Amino acid sequence: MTARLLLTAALAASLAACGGESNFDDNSQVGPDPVLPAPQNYLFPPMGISPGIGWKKGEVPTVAAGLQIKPLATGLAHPRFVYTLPNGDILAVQGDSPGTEAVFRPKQFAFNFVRKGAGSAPGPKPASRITLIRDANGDGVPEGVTTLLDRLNSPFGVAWIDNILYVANTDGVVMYPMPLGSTQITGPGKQLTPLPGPPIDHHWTKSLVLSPDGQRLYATVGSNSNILEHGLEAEKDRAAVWEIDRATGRHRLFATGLRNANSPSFYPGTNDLYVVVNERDEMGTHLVPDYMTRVKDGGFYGWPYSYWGQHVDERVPPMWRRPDLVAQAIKPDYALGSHPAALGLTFYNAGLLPAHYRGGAFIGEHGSWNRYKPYGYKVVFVPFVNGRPSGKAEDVVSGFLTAGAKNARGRPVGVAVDRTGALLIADDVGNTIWRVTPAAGAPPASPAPS
Amino acid sequence: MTEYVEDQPTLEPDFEPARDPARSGLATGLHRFLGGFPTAFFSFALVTDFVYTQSAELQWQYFSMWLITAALIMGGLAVLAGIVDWATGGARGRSGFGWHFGLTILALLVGLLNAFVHSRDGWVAVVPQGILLSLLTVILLYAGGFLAALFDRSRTHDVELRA
Repeated sequence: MTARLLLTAALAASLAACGGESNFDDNSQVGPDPVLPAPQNYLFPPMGISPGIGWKKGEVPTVAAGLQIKPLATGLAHPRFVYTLPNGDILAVQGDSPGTEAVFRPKQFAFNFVRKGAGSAPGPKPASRITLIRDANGDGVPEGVTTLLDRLNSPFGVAWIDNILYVANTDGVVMYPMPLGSTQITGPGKQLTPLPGPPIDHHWTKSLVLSPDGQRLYATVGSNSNILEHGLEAEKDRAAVWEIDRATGRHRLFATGLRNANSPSFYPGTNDLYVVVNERDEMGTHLVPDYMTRVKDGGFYGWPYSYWGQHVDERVPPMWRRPDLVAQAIKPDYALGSHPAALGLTFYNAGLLPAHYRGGAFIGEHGSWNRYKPYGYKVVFVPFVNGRPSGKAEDVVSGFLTAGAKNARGRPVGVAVDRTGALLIADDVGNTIWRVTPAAGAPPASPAPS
Repeated sequence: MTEYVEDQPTLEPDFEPARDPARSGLATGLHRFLGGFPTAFFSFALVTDFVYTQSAELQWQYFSMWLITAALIMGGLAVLAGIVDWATGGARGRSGFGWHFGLTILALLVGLLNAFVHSRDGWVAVVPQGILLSLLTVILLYAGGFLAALFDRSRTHDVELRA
């Protein structure tokens, strides 16, 4: 009898989880106050994978009205992040997971099998490399593409100031002397600050940004697990934003409880630091929404103990729970829907694109795995009013999936704005840097504010 | 041995397998050898589950996951050997075989369900469903073994009385 009860309960739980999917309005989870359904426990979590196939010649993503998109550079090796130097040169940071997560559990065999092909496409194998793209006349056709740095350790974020290039490898921030105009760095790097890296290194992407005064760096360090399945000790100094002093390399934890924050960005003209955050998986198709939030000094944002403020995660063992921290968990500013894997964030303060986009945020969504119907796989725009997100997110660049989500031609990750004001997108499955400009014949945008 | 075969209800009356003592011997041996693993592994998984509930020490959760997985693999092989053993006549003479077979299959199915429950992240992999399913698996396996032994014993006793 107990067997039947347990079986029925388990089956009912997994069936209920499948049933609710089609009726749910994804838009109800976009904005400051997302609808949060009850959490689920699965026998096997919902998974939807679209193996990468790359772009055929001439194929491009779909853009919003008034825009056009063209490849700036193709044939790259898994580009995940894109950065514009003050002289207009563009860095494409290519990297892949360090592959240091050992198989601790039989589950990982099944996951690796099901998720095979999701992260890559035919073409160059992922490299740990930074490529410099020079388009001096800003026409979207590079005059030169060179390898700036190679054989790094799973790099993601970069930042440049005072003739120094800071590279956030997965295990530390390394500095290289780099006068503007360099196309190759031959000298050795020097580690400024080590970051928590392998072993495990579940969320391996470390991103970087300079403070507006240029004195400090902010580095994001993702958690070492989905929800503590590698233990509490593995999470030391993780799920946090680090503040690093450029002069000494010393650091402190600026904010914590951010499961996997990426692309820290200061809102133009302010000291408000924003990040996009990947929230936890395997709680439901519609839990937990990823988000964009302003990060307050000393703020705690919930992970692992709670989500979206005070919603306690029951998967944390009772002896590890922290009601005191749950009570002070800050509710994030803006939900982006569940599982889109928001990794890229840049604010638009230039004048090239239509005025509608000025002052808002572009967000690169790598795309979901933890739901049957895919979500994300696009670049969205979130309007801002008075320096705060306001209004519904809009699709700006989409069409990364083929019909029926059978395959992924590409997957967007990092976003940036180039010197001309065009939007750049790193596409790690399409091995391309895309460049978005106003459509030909569109009315010219007003000049940028000085 | 042969004197009581006739009054035993056979599972497939039309089919009388040819007895091949050599093959039957091998299958019986493998059946017995492999059959020990799932009982031992599932028993250990119940213990490691319990220790995890007391400590939240992840190593114990990992132990449970691998023990349950290994129990299912060895249990599956044991079932195959058991079927060959039965088909070649080796297990026919044992009257508790039906109980043993039914409860073993049920235990392995519950164990399979438990493997999925144990693949969850965090505490809910074990509490409450995981450890309850571990307990249920062990009860089913022990009951199957005990009933089989009991029937075997009483049948042997009957035969002895009649003889």
